[in-house]
Amino acid sequence: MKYLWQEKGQRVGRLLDELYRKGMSDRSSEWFRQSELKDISVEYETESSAIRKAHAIEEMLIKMTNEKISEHTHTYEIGQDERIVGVIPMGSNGLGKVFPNYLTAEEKRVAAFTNRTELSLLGHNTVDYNQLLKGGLKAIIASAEHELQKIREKQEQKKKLKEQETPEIQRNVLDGNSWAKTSKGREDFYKSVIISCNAVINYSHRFAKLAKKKAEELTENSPRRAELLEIARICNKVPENPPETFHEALQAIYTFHTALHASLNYISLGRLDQVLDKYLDKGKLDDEKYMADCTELFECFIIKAAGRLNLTTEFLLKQDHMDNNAALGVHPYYLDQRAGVNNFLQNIIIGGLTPAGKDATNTATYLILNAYANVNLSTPGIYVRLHKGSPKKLVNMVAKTLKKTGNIPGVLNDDILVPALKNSLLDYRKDASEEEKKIYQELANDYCVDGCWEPILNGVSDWTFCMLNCMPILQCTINRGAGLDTNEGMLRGSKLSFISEEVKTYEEFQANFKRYMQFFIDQATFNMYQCYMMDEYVNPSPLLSSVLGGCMEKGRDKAWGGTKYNIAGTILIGVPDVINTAAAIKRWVFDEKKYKMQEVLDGMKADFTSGPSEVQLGMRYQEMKNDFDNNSPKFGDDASNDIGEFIINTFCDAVEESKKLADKVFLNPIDGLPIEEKRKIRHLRKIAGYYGISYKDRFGKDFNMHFTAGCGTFEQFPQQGMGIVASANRGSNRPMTANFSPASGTIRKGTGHVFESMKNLPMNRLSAGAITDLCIDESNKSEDYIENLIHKFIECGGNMLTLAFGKREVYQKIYEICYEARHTKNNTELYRELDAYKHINVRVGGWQAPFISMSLEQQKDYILRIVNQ
Amino acid sequence: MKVAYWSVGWLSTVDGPGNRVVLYLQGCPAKCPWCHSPHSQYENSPLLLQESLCRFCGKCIEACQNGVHRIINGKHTIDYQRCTACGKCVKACPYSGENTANSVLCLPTVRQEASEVFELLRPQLDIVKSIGGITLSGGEALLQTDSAIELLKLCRNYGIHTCVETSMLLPEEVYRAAAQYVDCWLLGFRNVYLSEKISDDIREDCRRKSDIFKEKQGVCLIARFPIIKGYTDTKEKVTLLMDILLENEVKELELLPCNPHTEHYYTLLGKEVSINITKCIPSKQEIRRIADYFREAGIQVKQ
Repeated sequence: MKYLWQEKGQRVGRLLDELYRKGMSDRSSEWFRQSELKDISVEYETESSAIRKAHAIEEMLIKMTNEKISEHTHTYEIGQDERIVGVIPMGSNGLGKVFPNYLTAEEKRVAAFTNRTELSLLGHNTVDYNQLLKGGLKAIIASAEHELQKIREKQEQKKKLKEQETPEIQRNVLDGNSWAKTSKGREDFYKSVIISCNAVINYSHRFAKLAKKKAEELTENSPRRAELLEIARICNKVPENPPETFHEALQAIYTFHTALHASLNYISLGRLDQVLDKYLDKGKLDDEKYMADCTELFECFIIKAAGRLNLTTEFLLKQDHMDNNAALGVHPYYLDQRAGVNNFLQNIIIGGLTPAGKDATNTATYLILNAYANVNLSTPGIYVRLHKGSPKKLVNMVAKTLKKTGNIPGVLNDDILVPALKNSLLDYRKDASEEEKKIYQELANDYCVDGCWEPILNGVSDWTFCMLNCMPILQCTINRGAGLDTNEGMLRGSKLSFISEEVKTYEEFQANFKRYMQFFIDQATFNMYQCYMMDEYVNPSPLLSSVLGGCMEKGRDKAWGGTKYNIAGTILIGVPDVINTAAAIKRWVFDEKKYKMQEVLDGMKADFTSGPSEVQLGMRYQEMKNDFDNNSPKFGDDASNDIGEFIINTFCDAVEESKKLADKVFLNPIDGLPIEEKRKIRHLRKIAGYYGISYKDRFGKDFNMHFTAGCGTFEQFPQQGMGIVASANRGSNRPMTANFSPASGTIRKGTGHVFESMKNLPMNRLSAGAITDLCIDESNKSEDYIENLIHKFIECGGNMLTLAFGKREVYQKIYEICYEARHTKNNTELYRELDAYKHINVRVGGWQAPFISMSLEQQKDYILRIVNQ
Repeated sequence: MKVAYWSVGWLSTVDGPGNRVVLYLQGCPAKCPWCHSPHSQYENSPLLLQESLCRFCGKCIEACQNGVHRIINGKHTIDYQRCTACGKCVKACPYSGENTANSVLCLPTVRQEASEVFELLRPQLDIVKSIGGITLSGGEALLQTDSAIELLKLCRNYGIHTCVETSMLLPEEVYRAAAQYVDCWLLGFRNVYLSEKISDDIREDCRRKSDIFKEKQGVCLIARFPIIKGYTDTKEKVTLLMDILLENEVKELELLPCNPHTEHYYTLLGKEVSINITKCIPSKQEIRRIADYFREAGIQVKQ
């Protein structure tokens, strides 16, 4: 395929300058004020939460285009050079969100018990925009109306039957699962879809009106006038109707994306190359002007989606809108707000395979990469799916883009992730039928990643997840079920799990580790099953559900079993740290017997240091630290492979085992089982605190929760290390190692070895992803070298990879300025100084971020991670 | 057959064409006074002491049976006469890791079978395979002739471009044995730079050796010229080098100005550099003058 590289034009340069200007300024006034938004729960008090949510979406979109309010929110504006229009209101995973309240006072009080608010949407999902663009919102509304009509007819029938008062006849008419087919829930779902989809159409029309008005202010022959009229035409047409051109398709996606993000659904844009390629005029692919125009449109699209960026940290406190659950909802989470300032959970995925398993690279793949290379923004994130059969040209262009930007795109390895996901979808069953295998193979071939990096299905799945720190599992293993802490009142330590005997051999260590892993994974898995059912009454998502596979067919919101597939991921934190520590313990405690286990426990608790009067002890700890840090096998090196393999397999086995038991308790119907078995399961349900019917009875026989397992930290590795005593290569309370990367300073044999070591790890069991983030000294940034790194990563069976290239001195300089700025009162000049570095983006674990916007702790950690070869 | 080496450069862009993995072998006959890795001159590197990291705990004194270590008045010294490089002190030192350079005490020499060394380098060679290759450096890379050749063979069989940096001081038969496995030579011309008197013998020696290198088709010859003011940059030597390059069709030349950090490894060895390094660093003008001189003769010069 021929593809001509396009350089960035002047318009895009100006748009970028404007974005940077905004990002460097005080954006606090741009936030919506709660008082500007109607309280929907008052006006629609008697309606269901689904209807109330739909009206809240409508209210939000109306207020976003309110001229008066827009004077400070700037949400009803079309910028000077813009070709894609619409404005996503301020908000982020770190700063919080503002949205009309739609929960009643009582609902809110009870929701406080289950850690929910009206803002508690998890996001972490993706849309297959083919679903929207195929028929436009018009088709979705028509389909909802059609279903409503059918429900009404059925209700009429039911009314008549009721009049006849013959229950037998009623049962015959109301087949099977009567709740789902006739309830008010279903009716309200379709109504909520219609209200919210219409709200989006109206929002788009109001932008058409604005564009027209602005055009009319210009002279007849002004080129901008023609552009504005074209924008007006497009906004009148899409997303209501199906698009026909590349520009129309992009605007349709952007408008819908804006509405989703405005209504709290922080989700990804999905496989946009697969969606957009068909809108490229196939007769003009060699026409340089046309391709430059389409590239420019995509650049405009990226810049618009990045519109919420906060580059300076100067005014962040004024923008803190976070409450206890605004970000993820599932738990009152100890979130790194600063790291999440510019996290909007919006990724774009390109390349990979088609559902049929063929290479999916197309012209739009190259165009999107090209646009990213030109604008180099940290958001929306960009991931390219690669596999052994990916075109050489694509890998080359990925390398070219990485060289130019120094940090994007991220790489996903299809050769590992596709089989891993397929296996998870099959619930690890070996006895699956050929047909099942085929269906799941196609779904896995078409995978996406959400706004961080967890693999999910392309627009047909809902996703929930749980994170747990592996270090306390290791601590329990070696400390008889207790964590290691410095609280004297705790005797052995905090009692996190059941008590066990002291481990004296590596075999005992392994046996214990397995038991504790199962204990913690069971907790996580059961939690995910139980939490699943809360969302319906608190966080329905009619707008997202209108395009999410399965919901429209079933007549159910995604929050109530609507999607075709449900995936629950368990992400294990700190796996590299645990591998390093377990390897050290194996060598020095079990094999060489240089240290006693108790000595190691004391050393770890004491951060390998002693009081000034304990000279001998201090020396012993220093020796131990040296052995742990420097003289033990490391994650990222072949020497640690046995232990790495054991830890990952133990984790994945535990997830599979947990799934089996949780299915028995929560998922599977008990009808038809022998009476004893029924009694046993009911008994188990009660122990779990669950008194309801099985999920399959509740949500339909196809309902299932597929469990995936992954390793990572996202951006929270500094927080995750707090309260965790010292381990190999890290001090007490210091950050955990980011994601699935080697600990700082432990890469001693070149990056080739890091990838090579993955060959022997069971990476293809990690279907929830395991991402390796490498920061490499910029002097090594040659296109060929990057290309070969990627090839080696794919060939060695790595799971996911991000690369960043930078200069230690530059990062150090930025850190010093930021440090000064944070600790000085008259700091305006210092913040101005940072302006020169606003283009530098790096990886913070879950996503890319502008380096100058990161917390000092994150910056410091990053500087230490640079691999200098 | 074992290879003794003291370090690996995992990704270098200055040791041969493209991106290279560099293996620094032990042993060198040259003993250049400006050498910046004097520990590589030995068959086994002596013990290196990074005194600035030492906390004077005395563990090394306890571990050593030969009384090698002394800590007096906050100063740690080593009696090299008594040291057998047994490694007990390194193991005992709580501030020294196994084979980590950032240690108080370090015995950097590693001895491994050529096949093990190849296996160690292979993952990184995969990455540089199409954009560079391997470089054997030193010391004098070919002093361990047989094991170096074995390693070169393994690399060549794996499709890796090979490069050898040599002092040019070894006997012709060594070069003859290695030549067919070397794609690129980095020619150190120590016979020119270290000579006290310019003679036709040097010219002849270079001609014969160059002929051996050139027997392999497509071989690449790159000359390296360390500019050590007052030592290598005399008019006679520069002229002779020019003659040799022209006569033997060596078309590329790399200029390596005296390394200002030369004293680093001497400090770790408790020694002093025998020459005044500060005085040996050439000025920019001087480097440019030499570069121009060679360029005018049609030689490609890399600074």
